[in-house]
Amino acid sequence: MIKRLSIVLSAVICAASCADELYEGVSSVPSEDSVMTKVINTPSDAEEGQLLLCLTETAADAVAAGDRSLYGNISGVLQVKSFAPVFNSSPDDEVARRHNLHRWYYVEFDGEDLRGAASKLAAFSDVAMVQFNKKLKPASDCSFNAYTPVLGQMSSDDLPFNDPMLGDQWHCINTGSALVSNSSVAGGDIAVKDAWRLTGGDPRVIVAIIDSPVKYDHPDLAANMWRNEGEIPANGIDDDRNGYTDDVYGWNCERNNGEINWSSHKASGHGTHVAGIVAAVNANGTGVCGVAGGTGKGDGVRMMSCQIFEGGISSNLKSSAIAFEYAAKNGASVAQCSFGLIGAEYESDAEYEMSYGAEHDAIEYFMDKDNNNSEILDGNIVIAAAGNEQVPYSSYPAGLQNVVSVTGLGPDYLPAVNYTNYGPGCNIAAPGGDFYIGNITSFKENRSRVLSTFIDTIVDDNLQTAGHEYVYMQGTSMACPCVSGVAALGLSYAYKLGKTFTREEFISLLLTSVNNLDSRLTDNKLKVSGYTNGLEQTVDLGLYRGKMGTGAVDAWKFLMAIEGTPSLTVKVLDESAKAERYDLTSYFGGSASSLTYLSVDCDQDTRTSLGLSEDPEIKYGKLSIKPTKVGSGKITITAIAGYDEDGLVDGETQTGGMEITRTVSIMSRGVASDNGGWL
Amino acid sequence: MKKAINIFVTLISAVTLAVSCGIIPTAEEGIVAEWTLTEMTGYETEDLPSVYIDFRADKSFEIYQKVGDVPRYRKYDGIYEISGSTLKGEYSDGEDWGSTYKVSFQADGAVLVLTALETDKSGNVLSEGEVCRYAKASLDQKEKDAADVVTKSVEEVSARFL
Repeated sequence: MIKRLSIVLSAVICAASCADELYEGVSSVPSEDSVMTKVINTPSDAEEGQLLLCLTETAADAVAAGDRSLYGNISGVLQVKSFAPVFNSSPDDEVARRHNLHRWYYVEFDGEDLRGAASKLAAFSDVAMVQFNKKLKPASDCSFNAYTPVLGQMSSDDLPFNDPMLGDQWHCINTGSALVSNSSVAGGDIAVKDAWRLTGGDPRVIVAIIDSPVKYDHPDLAANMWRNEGEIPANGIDDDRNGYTDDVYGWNCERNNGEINWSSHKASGHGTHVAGIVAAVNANGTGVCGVAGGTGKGDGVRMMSCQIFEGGISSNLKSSAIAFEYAAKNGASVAQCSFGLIGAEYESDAEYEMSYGAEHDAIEYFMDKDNNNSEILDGNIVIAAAGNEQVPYSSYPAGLQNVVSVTGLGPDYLPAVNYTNYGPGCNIAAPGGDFYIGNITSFKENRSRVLSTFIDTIVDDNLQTAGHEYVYMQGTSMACPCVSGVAALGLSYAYKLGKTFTREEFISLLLTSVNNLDSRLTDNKLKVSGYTNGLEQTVDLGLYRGKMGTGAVDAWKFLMAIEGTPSLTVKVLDESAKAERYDLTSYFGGSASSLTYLSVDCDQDTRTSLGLSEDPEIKYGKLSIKPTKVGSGKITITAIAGYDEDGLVDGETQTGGMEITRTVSIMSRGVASDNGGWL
Repeated sequence: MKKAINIFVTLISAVTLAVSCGIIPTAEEGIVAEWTLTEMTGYETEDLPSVYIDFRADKSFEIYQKVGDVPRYRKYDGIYEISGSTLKGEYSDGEDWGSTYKVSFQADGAVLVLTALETDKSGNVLSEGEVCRYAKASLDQKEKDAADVVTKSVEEVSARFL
């Protein structure tokens, strides 16, 4: 059931209508309407005793200049514990101001319920918006089982690196082993083994792991951790004057300090697992491999820990907003986000943007071209988990139109039907694990989830050590870093080749460098709800057709696309002939024939060179073109990644697909074979 | 005796004439070599893609081609069939060539000319089309070793099983 803001806002109106006493800062009794429009989301699943305020421009500048009248007014109606800016940026920071970061404040208080506090604060004319500080959750159930060695899984000759557990990382190299699952499929992986021949990473690429803490001294992560060399650890001084004190390995966005802390009771290890998938150190004779973990020459990408979860403390919008700001200001070009909202369901970007002002502003700030942290792109990219609610739409923030949303696959190269979201807002699929197709009689022997690094010092509820250095976990949380790792690998390869792209071109290449999943979604798959003797049912995999994104990510294809794509050779035709159709798999990936195409654009030079009397178009998923002359040119084709609708409806962004664009070089000649071969 | 000598002289003359005129005995024999594209209908030399074709005596072929902005050659292979001067072939992925060709030679067999033939369903030649000329040349082995192998008909290089 889709939640509707109007239902809850009615409750807010009711609360506001009771606040009919005048107080300082309120010049007249505020109308119900004016209060209603200022409270932008609902208090369900929100942190108690906290609110986020977006002040008016004037008020924000006044407060920044030292005016304490608003603080005084707020203190007059609430027992204020703290009132401070959410963001770190200077009020004069032009880019931050562009995204309203200077206007967001955080109020912590006692003695008032959230609705009552919100209506009181919304009454102040200096307050433009009030936002409940919604909680966030990791996109994994955080259940894990420890790694146990499997002998004879793969011979060392078949493995490109000497990391002893690589043979058990089916998401990197899937041999179809029954030790993983009886339905494992050889080749059902991210095709990184071939990609590693070309590159293993580049330390100029920094990936922000926005998650629970990354254990930066893990033996299989330490060498690939980003380290702020300008900061002297734990001296209480902002040595590099970046606005953050003691931020050596990143920032603890929950506590707003530099201590990346995994020692709390109930630490999940989630962020450490995610980080290992992205860039565990390769070829070090230890543990596992990371997608962009290097080749043993110190050439892995670097990971920045932006801690938003800490032990029993949940995360929330404020923490994630701070994380995006930190990542933007400190060099990250990829934000890896395996988290999402708890329970909220949104039908459109507009609804999300309205309700999640602070976080949304921070995401936009991270992606602002003036905050670009890469020589390869013109803007940073955000990759997020689609969510694990088994619902036919992406969770947010992954569902935002300019965020890459990742769905999950099992080692059977089929949708992980027991958790993955699918449908509108989902852009690409990747291995996330599937417990139920592995050994379910022995938890210990189950290897069908994703193997990566973990925290060995985690304690359970009895305060007994329950951690391990390497474990299996599952979720779109694990699928997402596969894609982040591939994106980081692609940036690394672009550095190697000296190539540059716009952000949109790069994402288009990523989303079109995929293998077709739809042709495999013809049967049923067992779905089990719950972990122990849950109700079993079979689900028709056709339900997922066209809804897992453009297809399954393929690192090799992506690197090939970065290198350059061969021209499409088309046959010269007589004027009287019908146009011929050409496959677009080389440009739009394995699902090319089933994508929704929006447009085919062709300039006049190309029309003239190829003798096009009619514009090319897409018919039945193929390029239909009728060149009547020998020549060459380019056409630009735009399609939707992930869903059959553009994310725009009446100019508003809905939860839909992301536009992807490829420029296709065309060469016309007297002969054209179906496979592009010369003869 | 005189008759035998006359026959012998005639034969020698025929052979000499054949050798001195550079006549290749058959298209089937003459095509066996490595060739590189040097001319194509409608294209200036500087706009030509880089294409190498190796026709082998066992009726297999390999093509190394760079068409468009790519850093490495793409390799195709398969089998060909030549009957008289008509050449056709099939890629190892099962796709037919884009055309059947008429084979001819120039410059004493140093230049291979492939003329695309428009045929009906029965294989009858309707018209001749694009003409490509090739000179004998080999692609550097390092380039061959680095080439991306096309193994499936509609998938990208080094195609995955899916």
